[in-house]
Amino acid sequence: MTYALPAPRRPRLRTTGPVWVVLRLHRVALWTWTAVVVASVLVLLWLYGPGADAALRHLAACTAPGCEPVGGAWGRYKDLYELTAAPIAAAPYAATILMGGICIGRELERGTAQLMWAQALSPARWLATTLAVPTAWFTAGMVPLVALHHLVWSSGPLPRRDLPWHDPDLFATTGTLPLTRVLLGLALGALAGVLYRRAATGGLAGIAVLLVTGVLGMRYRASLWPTATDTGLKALRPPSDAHVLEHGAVLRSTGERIGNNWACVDADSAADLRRCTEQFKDFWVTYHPASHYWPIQLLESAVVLALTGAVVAVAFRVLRKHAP
Amino acid sequence: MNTALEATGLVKRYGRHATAALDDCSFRLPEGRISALVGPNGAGKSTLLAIAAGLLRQTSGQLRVLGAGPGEARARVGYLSQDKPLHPQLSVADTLRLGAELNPDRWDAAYAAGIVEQGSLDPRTKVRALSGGQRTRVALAIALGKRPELMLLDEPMADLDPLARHELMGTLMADAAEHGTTVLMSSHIVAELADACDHLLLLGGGRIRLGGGIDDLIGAHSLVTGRGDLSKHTVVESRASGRGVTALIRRDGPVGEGWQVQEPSLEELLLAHLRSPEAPALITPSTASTADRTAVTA
Repeated sequence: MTYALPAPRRPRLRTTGPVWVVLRLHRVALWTWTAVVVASVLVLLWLYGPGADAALRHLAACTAPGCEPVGGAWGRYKDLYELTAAPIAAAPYAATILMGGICIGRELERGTAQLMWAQALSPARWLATTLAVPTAWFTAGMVPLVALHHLVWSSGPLPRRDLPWHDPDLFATTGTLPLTRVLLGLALGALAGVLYRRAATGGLAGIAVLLVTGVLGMRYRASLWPTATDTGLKALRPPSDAHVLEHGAVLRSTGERIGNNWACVDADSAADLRRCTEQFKDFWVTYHPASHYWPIQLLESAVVLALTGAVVAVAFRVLRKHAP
Repeated sequence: MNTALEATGLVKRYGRHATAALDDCSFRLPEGRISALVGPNGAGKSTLLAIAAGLLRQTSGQLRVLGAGPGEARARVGYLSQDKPLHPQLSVADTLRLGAELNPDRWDAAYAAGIVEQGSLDPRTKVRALSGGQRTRVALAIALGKRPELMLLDEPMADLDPLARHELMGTLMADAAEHGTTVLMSSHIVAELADACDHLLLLGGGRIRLGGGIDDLIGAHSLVTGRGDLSKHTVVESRASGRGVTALIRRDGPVGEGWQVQEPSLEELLLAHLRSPEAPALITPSTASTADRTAVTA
């Protein structure tokens, strides 16, 4: 008796089907993104090694009181770091334009999406593939890019000097938030694309909504996690890396907390100032310590991901209503 | 006889308050026919073809395509529209590859390549560099390469010069004859339809005004000239000529004495119906939808 051996499986690197089609149609955009990622990663690797060393030497040479380090190795280090932050900050918007404008809006506008639906590819599978391929491609670029970017920031001299963890630009270009914002951008582009079925409006409407979510995130992220409050002497010296939200004094008469109050600033003599400060019983400060970076990052990312899921679901519904 | 396409009370409205592009449209297209879809601009021809191809969802009513719901028979239906959208950045070869990748179970690569080669097209040429006729050839290669059982053509030859039109229609009709493909083709060029088609659907006001085999439809009508009473026939159109009238009638029994009777041409039949949208609809039994036939026999 002989047993037929299963034929050895040939490794298949060749993509086929709708995935091949999406890769082929949008290869210029996808390779452009790859080039940006590779260039940024190279710069970040340099910053992590020789760049950081040179910057630290430059800073060490400037310890005299009143010495402000400008230019030189430190200036170059900072400039290059900010340069690598640009693709991360722009990636969600680029993803929206690619998805809403090019992958979906333009395809529907010139009828080439319909050409594909007239083959054996249903509109739902078309949308799923059109979303999945750029999502995978962007994710594959964002993960090393943001991880390295985060590492350069957290291991180097930047957090203590120019870029504290709560800086809005830094917060949106480190941690888990940038990747989730890219996913939201892709989802918003897809929804705007199937809603407007035009390249220009598909891209722009997606961008507009993404901008609004960015502003909302900046405005409300401090409320995502309970703040810490210090009183007494500690209130006058919150940790140097804290994100101070509010500080002020407690009134002796009513116990009321007054924040960011300038009542005593216009006192015109020492006695006047003493009289003014005597009405205060205590001082207080509310802030986010640096340890709140990750809880806020993860929570905001979770909110963005939930929104992404909802937007994708609506995009599929809109398309289903339009075509079977 | 099997049914390629069957509509029952099909309605499509673009926007909630717009007038319906298709309004309670019902008909049946038997398998193997080559049917002309005719009607004035805005009659709903493109809408009907797009719904049948699974590119658009109807507002209400039912459409069965090769026995399945619209979109479910996608793999077996070919569709070609007037503007022939193709990706301009792809080469001809990549465009054919797109057809192959998106029709994994049915693609006939040799056949599709053959259609392109007949036009002596270089496969490396980008689609954006092609002329109108060459684009049509590539679009046709994709539509036929999937070996469709039903071919939906929305004014496919409208922007072609007569020579290219003749050549591509030849390719298309040879293919349909060889494989028994059902074809539904909209066009404004009656001569083109008269040569190629054996079946007719005339759309007007979102419904079928005239439907059936072309010979049956022509046979049911007469072009009469003379004087006398036509009241027992259905008069589609009549106009004064000399001392009498010339009328296109749908006969009900023999035409009386004093009339000179002729068989109308397809063009005369179509023009008379296009000019008289109020003429009652005529749908032959083989073309009436199942629901309507049941209603008639009941």
